[in-house]
Amino acid sequence: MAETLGVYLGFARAALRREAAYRVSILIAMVGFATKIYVLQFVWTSLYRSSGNGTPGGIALPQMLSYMVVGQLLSLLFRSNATNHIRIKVRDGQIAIDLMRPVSLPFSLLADDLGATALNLILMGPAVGLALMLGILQSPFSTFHALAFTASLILAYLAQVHLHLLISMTAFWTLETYGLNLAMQFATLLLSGVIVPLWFLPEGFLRVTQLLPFAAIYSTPLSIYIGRLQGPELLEALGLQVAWVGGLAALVALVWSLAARRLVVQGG
Amino acid sequence: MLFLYLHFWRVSLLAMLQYRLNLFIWMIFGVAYHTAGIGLLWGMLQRFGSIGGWSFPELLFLYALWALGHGVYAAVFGKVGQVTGHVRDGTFDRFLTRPLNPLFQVMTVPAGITIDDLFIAIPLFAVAQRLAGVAWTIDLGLLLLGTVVGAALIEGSVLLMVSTLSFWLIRIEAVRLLVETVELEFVRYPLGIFPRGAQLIFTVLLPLAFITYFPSRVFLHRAPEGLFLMPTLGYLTPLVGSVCFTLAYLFWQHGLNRYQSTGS
Repeated sequence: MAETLGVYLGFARAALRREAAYRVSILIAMVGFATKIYVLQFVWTSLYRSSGNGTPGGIALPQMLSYMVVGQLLSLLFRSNATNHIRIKVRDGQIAIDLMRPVSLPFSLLADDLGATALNLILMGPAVGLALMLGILQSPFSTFHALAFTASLILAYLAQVHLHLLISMTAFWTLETYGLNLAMQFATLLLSGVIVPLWFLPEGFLRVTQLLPFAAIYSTPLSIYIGRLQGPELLEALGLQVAWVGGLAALVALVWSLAARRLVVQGG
Repeated sequence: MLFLYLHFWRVSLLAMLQYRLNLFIWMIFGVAYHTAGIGLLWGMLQRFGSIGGWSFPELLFLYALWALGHGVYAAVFGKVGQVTGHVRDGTFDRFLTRPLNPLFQVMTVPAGITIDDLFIAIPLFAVAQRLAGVAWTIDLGLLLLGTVVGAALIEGSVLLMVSTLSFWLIRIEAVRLLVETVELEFVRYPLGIFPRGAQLIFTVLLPLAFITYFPSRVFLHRAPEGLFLMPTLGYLTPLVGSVCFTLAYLFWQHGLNRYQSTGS
C-alpha cells in the first residue's frame, strides 16, 4: 500500500518539476492574475458606487473585493488541467504502454495534476502578497469559516480535477478535446460565480447553475470565505460539494472502464 | 503594391472558402468567447445600474467597438505576430532577398487569414449600436471608419514593436501574450473608473483609451469624465494610430538593419 502511494507520489513530483520548467507560462499566469485583480477592484468599486445601497445582496464592498481576489486565486490554483495529456497519449499510441504498467492510469493522471497544482500552490505566496499590498484581501470571516473554506477548497479541487479528467477521456472517442475544454472554460466563467457572484444573477439563471457542477468549484468555497454561508446552509453546501465529487468520480470510473475496453478493441 | 495586396486577399478568401468547416468551427468559438465576455458584463449589471456611469448598452457598444477594431487588426496585422517564428526557423531571410518591403511580405504570407473575428464583430456591432441608440450622421460614419482603422493601427503598432524585439531576443511570444492580456482587461471598461495614474498611462504611454473609450464618448454623446475632459480626444484615434504605427515602423526598420540571421 505504502509502496503504491510512493509510485503515485513519484508521478506528482515529476509533474511539479515539469511545470516548474515552464517559467514563461508561470509569468503570464501571474501577470494575468495581477491585471485582473487590479482592473476588477475598480470595476466592483464603481458598481457599488452606482448602486447607492451599501450592501447589495447583503455583501459589503470589502467582502466583495475579497470574494473577487480569492476567486482569481482559485483560478490560478486550478489552472493546470494536467489530465489533458491523455489526449496526446491516445493519439500517438503511448496509451498502450501506460495501460501495461502496473499502475492505474486515472490515478496516475490525478497524481500528475496534484503535482502540477502543488506548484500553483507555491505561486499563491506572491499572489496573496500582491493582493494584500493592494489592500483588497480580507482574512476569512471567522476561524470556523477558515476551516470550512479549507475543506471546501479541497472538495472544489477534487470536483474540478474529475471534471477535467472526464473531458480529457472523451479523447478516446474524439481524439481532440480542444473544443470541449474551451466550452468548459466559458461555462465556468459564466456559471461558477468566479467573476460575478451567483446571487447577483436572475432567478432562472440561478436554477441552471444549481444543476451544474461549476458552482461547487468556485461559488461554494468563495461564499464560505466571505461568510455569506452560515450554519446549516454552509453544511448543506459542503454536502452538495461532496455529492458532486462522488458523482463525478463515479462517472470517471464508468467512462474509464468503457474507454479502456474500447481501446482494446481498437488495438485488436 | 496595392494591386498585389488586393490579389492576396482575393486568393486568401478563395482559399478560405475551401475550408468552410474550419471557418465555421472558429466562428462558433468566437461566438462562445464573446458570449462569455458580454455575459459577464450583463451579469454584473443585473443588480447594479452602471460601471462608471455607463449602462449595459453603452458598455456593450464599447465592447463591440473594440471587437470591430480588433477584427480588422487580426485580419490585416495578424501575421506580423509570426515574425518571431520566421526569425527562429530562418525563413525570415527569404523575405530579405526579395525586392519587396519585408513587412509587406510578412503580412501577406499565403497561409490562411484570421477573418473570423471580423465576421463576428460586424453583426455584434450592428446590434450594440442599435441598443445604444446611436444617431448616425455622415460625420459619425466617417468617425467610425477612422476609429476602426486607427484602433487596428494602435493594436498593430504594439504587435509590430513586440515582434521587432524578436530580432534581438529569440523567444518573444510571451511578451505578446502579456500585452494582449493587459489590453483586453482594460479596453472593456470606461477609463474613468481607474485612478489618475492608470488613466495617464493608457492615454499617453500605451494609448489603449483611444481604441474604445474616447471615441465611444462621441458616439454615445456622453459628457466627458475623468482626467481627460477634452471632447476632441474622441476624434483623434486615426491620428494616434498613424503616429503609433509610424513610430513602430521606424523601430522595425531599425531592427531590420541590425538583423542577424539565426543561421539555421
